[in-house]
Amino acid sequence: MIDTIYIEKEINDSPKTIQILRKFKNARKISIDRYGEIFNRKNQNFRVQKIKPNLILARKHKGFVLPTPEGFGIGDQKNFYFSHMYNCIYDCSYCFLQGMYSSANYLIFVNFEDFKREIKGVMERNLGESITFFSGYDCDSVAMESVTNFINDFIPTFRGHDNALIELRTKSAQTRIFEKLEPISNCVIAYSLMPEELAGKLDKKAPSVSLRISAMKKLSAMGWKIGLRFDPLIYSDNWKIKYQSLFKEIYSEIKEESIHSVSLGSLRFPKTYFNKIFSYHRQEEVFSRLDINGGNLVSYDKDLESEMNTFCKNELLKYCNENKVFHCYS
Amino acid sequence: MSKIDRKNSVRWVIALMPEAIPIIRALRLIKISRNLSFPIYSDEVGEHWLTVSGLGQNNIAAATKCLFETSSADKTSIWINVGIAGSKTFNLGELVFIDKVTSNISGKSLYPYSIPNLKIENRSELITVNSPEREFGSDGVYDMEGFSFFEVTSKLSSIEIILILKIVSDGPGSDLSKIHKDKISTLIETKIPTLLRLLPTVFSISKNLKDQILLPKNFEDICKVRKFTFSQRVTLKKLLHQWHARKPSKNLLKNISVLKTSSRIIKFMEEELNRS
Repeated sequence: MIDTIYIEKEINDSPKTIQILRKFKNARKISIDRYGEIFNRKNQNFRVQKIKPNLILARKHKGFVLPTPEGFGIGDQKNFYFSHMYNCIYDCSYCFLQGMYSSANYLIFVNFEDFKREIKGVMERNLGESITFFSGYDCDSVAMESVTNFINDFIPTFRGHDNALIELRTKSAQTRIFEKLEPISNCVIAYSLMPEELAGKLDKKAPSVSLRISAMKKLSAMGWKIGLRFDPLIYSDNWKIKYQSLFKEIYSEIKEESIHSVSLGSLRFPKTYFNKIFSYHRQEEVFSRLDINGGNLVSYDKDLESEMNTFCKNELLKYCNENKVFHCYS
Repeated sequence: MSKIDRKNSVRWVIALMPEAIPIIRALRLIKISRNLSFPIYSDEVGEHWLTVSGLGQNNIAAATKCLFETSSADKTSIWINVGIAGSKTFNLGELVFIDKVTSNISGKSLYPYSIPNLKIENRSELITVNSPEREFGSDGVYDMEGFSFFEVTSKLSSIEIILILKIVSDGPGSDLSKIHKDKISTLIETKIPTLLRLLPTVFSISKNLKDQILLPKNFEDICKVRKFTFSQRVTLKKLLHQWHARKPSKNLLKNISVLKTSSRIIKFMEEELNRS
């Protein structure tokens, strides 16, 4: 439950604001000029705020759709991302948002129409090329659907634009919204996954991996395309056995043809993000094997990183074609 | 890394002596005898400190800085401003938690953190004015210090542990000259149990912040028995974090007690961690 909602004055009367506020009738509403007054201020603590985040409703003014960093993609010629929301209801120990933002409050940009206009513009400027739009880089695309109505609003924008793919990245086990929509072939519901034992320790407040697999199974049966995202790969005792068992479980539940793509990525952070995240989770074993590798990057030892990527890729190739497997290194 | 005290640390900044007296009594504070610009009080163990600033924004800003320096507060210290305020919305004697504070002069607003589970029903905007308010144009509560208090303390401490709490003393039509100092003390006194009940919640936030910056366990013990260079201390901190996360063997201090040099301690820890 949200206790406090900060609302930018200029979007006070926007339909999306009104729609969201209807769900939080008892919350205290505080009027603000710009979201940065709350979200970007100094001397605030992400970890403390994460105990009970507040909600900020704001208008995004520019940068609705941005090119992805190099090394981020699932096969298309051009890759973009957009973020209608910053932060997430889950509390994953390794989440890079903790290092990127100083506030754990949920920030929703309510001007969805501007995002959709820009997405259509990108589609029109890139006719004849294959494009992927990634959502869920700065938030979980599905987890806050009951509040944002994001999927319901955005899926129609992609219907009929077969050269443009949308990836919805999530750990949510909610399937209700997709049950209400007609599946489209250019939407990938991409699930972040790791062995159950690790997820139990690290993916706090997120649905278990078995629930995520059940959701994938249900959605794939309905005709939605599924993405498997093993990013980050996490080292632990017996990691090979754990990942082998996870891949086996997934492919025993979901038909290979329902799986659009698989991506792998190492646990890695820019140094400044890592320092912040580490201060929040000093006792987590997951961070105790990371070190500065190559200037500004904190990651596993290069040999270990390579071994994990190679092993997992080879294991996945027992179940799927190589052209579906991507390595994310950005 | 600045030295962070493990004990609870609260700094009370109060405008008027009649407001301060009930808090001084409740916390058994004693005036410290140094010659300072503002009267400063502390308890025996140095957990609670209090200053009386006098009316107005300039006074509270100066008193807050003075208390910060005198009491060796750090960025995990809790700062609380309690005082009387005027309102047309809330009833006389009601306690109000402030989650927005606006300067009537500049029009600028600041936003104290909405501390979860604080169990204060009344929440409001505070409008800080330069002279006693008589018109009460806004639904918020009115004081003469809050904005400046928050502006200063938010540079000294984490915003999650800065509180402004107001107790309504007057409203439209009140004759301010009739608010006697005894009445002010009574208004505060009545709310002392509530104020004290809030503290454990804020202490737990402060502890959370301390845990994020305290040196790793055993660091100081090890540095006491062997001499480490600056770069060795950096390495030792990293290794200790790894050690306590992975626990390759149970008793680190016992294991390293036989090692005669800092280099050997570091080498031993690295080898043990590589094995784990």
